[in-house]
Amino acid sequence: MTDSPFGEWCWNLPVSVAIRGAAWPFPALEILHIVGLILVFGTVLIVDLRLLGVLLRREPAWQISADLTRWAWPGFALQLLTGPLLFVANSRKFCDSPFFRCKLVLLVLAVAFHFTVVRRVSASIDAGVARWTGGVSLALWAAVILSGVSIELF
Amino acid sequence: MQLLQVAQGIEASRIGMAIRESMWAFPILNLVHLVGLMVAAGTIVYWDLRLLGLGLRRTAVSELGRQLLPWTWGGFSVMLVSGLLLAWCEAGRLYSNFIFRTKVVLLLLAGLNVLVFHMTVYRGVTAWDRATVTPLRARIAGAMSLVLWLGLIAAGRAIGYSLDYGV
Repeated sequence: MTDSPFGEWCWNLPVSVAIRGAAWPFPALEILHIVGLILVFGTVLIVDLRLLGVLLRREPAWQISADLTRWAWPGFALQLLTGPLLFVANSRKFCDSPFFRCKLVLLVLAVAFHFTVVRRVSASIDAGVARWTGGVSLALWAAVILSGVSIELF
Repeated sequence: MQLLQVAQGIEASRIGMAIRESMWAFPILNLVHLVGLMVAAGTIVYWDLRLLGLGLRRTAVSELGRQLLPWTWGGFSVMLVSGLLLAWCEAGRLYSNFIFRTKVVLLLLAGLNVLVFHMTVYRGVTAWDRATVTPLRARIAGAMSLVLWLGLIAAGRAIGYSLDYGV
């Protein structure tokens, strides 16, 4: 039981009960969530390392970003689909987890930073600005993943 | 000596005991293993998509390989060391675990795929460096790698559950 009425409401949804009804749906959703994450994080890693000036310096950043983002979107969609299902199916645990709250806040920050700063900077040629943008973005996404993994591990 | 006894010996060893008895060692090794996975798989997936002619088509294959693969190997090394230590502390139980055995086979197949690719079609990469329609053998290697890594990740996730449930 959790103290949160919202957590209890999620826990008792038909879809949550159905996911918990067999041993395989929850792990299967987790695996799909990880597949989506790999597409998103692969893009984030390569684009941010390009902005940091570490990787693929001979290619323009906007081009790397455009070519990779095409694949990151389906990955992100997969995560947005599986994430809430994982949440409701195990909402008693997630509602009580400080790591989960951390992850949500960091995720909002990382996505907001992507749309406000990263996209604009990828299209510009200012190497100095690009460098700190890549660093901040990579740190934010790493923090999202570390807090997400910590829900399960600690 | 039987392999099972070797595995039980590894589990009972001082390192195995130390990891089991520490409150933090196992979750931290797990965390490190997953960070390695993110870097390795995050770069592998885009390398494979390039080999399939589906992603990063404006970047030359050899240039992408030179730039990306050191990160892949770095991530993979972290995974390998942390993975060995994770397996070390429950080697006896993992020995007979069907999913762990499957994972080892998948890992060997993935390694073989990399070896064959680098010894054959990748040797002549200059001929198809900028190609958007890549050679069939490059596409097969890319597709195999994606499938094998999906299997590795699924098996990795499943091992945790199988040990909890005692499958």
